[in-house]
Amino acid sequence: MATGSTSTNISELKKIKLTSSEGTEFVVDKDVGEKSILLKNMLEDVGENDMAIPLPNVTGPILTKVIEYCTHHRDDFFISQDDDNKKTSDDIDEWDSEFCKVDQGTLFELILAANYLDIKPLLDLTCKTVANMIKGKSPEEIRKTFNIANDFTPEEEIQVKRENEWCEER
Amino acid sequence: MISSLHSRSSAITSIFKETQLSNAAISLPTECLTQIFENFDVCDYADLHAALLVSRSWCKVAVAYLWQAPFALENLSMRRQESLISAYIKSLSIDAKQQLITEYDLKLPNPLGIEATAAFNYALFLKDLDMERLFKSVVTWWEESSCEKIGYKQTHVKFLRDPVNQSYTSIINDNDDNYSLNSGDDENTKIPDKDDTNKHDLNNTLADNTDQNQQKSSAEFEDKTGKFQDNIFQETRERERIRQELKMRQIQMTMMTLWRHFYRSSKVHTFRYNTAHTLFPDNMNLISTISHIDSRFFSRVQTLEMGERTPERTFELISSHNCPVIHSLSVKYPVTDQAITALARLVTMQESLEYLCLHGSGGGIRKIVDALQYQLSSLKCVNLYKTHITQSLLITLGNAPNLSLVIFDKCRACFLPDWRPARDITTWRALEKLVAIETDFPEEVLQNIIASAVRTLCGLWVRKHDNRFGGEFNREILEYAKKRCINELISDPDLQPQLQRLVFE
Repeated sequence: MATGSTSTNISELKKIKLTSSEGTEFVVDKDVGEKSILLKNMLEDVGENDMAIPLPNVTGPILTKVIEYCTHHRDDFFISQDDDNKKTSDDIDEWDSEFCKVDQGTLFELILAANYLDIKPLLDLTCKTVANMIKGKSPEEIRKTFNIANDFTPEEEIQVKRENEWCEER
Repeated sequence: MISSLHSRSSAITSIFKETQLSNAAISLPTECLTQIFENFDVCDYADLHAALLVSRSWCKVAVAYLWQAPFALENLSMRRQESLISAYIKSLSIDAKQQLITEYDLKLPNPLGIEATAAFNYALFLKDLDMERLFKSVVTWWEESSCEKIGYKQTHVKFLRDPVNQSYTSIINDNDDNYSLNSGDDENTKIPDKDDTNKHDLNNTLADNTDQNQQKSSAEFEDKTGKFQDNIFQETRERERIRQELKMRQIQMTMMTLWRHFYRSSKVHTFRYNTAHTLFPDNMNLISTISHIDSRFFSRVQTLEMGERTPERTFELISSHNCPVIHSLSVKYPVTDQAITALARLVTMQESLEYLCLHGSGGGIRKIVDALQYQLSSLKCVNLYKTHITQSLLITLGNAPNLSLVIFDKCRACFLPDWRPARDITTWRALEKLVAIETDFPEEVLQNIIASAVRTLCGLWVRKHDNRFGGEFNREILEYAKKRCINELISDPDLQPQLQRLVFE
């Protein structure tokens, strides 16, 4: 028991280095970094190493946000959510809710970063936030909110609308 | 994940295949969009529909969620049912459409014809299939879009105008009195007016001054007119019967075609068969149409819902397919004893079964429970719907070792005036087990069953209903209750007054 506790403390004190896409170096506690399954697996593969891990898909500002999230939840036990358990989009806690109050571009980049770094709780949180933002909006409003171009051809749009008319209340 | 994405992309049938993805400022990859749409439920179809129309990449992901359970939606309007089936018909293969048109003489409306191709093969996305609602929607589709819309009265008028009806022409021509049938609009299409003829007859009889002749003439006329009317309505009924038969046949064939479309290509995990067996003739058992090659349909079904009077053969057919993952089974009583035996055989094969939902009367449910008794040990949840709760049923459920949830939904307890749970220690023990697990008693069952028994055993219930505390208790039961519940009751300060009254008085 005592040995386990000591090794945990040592693990918590250890630092790892990460490099964002611009080349900015971040030093984070190892336990925080290991919230990312990608980083955890990499660290296990390469063993003890002082070299910075390059993250070419994540910018500095987004990496800062990701580290903020992982630091806040460092003591949480991340349970991988079973696909059979239906997710609910209205159970976001207050801190997480505040964390997601960012512009649309940042939110999408956080989703991409969470997906790339394999941080399931962050991916769930950001996706839930987007789902909540979609609710009650028209297609045009969704496009405006998330800066998405309508790339349907007119024929495609008509066909998709017609074949999905059963969803429309009239 | 990879396999589901693969099947999703293979569902895209036409215009979406070749072109490039969205050029949005930041476009999310498919796996991220999938994560987003996972947060929507079936009832959020309006939001999914809006997402579907945002862009091509959103469309390709949202469509799988939008179309996973359209039959699970209640109260779809006729227009929406018609629209839903139209989309499925449109996505049928050319061969399937050709068969509907040539073999079953179905008139497919232009937008759904042979050449029309749907943007997606929507059947591929279906996960929850309700056969009764599918049938209802096909009937609506048939009536609203594909075929003639003729009510009984209109049929009658059309029939009278129809020159093909030689039998009626001959009736008219054979008539010595030359009664004529006026063809034309609705008002003109009528049987000769008895009053007019009477006037004519009256003039003659006045001349002859014989009442007998008049009566005879009138009786003959009435006889002929009556026969004429009888023949018309008989023939009309016959035509209507034939038309209804044709309609039913076309609907059944359309349903059969869609059913094949679904079971061959879909990922159905919830199959609600209900009373679909009553919608088809005996020789057209839908389940039997699943070929050996497609028997994997049942290997995916996790939730199976069977309606009342489900024939033995249906259970046997399902048993004959490999269905190892059913974890939820819903059965409605009545079914025959043979069907119960077949059902028990089916259930015994399901090691994964955890949830059992039984609808129906006490005696029948008791038979099913008896038949399934060995399987009850693995059950985690039992949902009884509109069931007469019997003492023995409660004891059986109370003794099921792994049961963690029993739902009594709209159950009745008519036996209660003669039932004295407090006198039966075995029932108490079973009830204690039931109370220890999560239950959802409806109010009347609470009033009748729990009021006299369970409240002494369950501190939780007493907290909720302490204002109705009291009642008479058998000494043995009281001792039992004290022994079992004293610690729980004492540990709750809110219960002290009640505790005094119940346990120590």
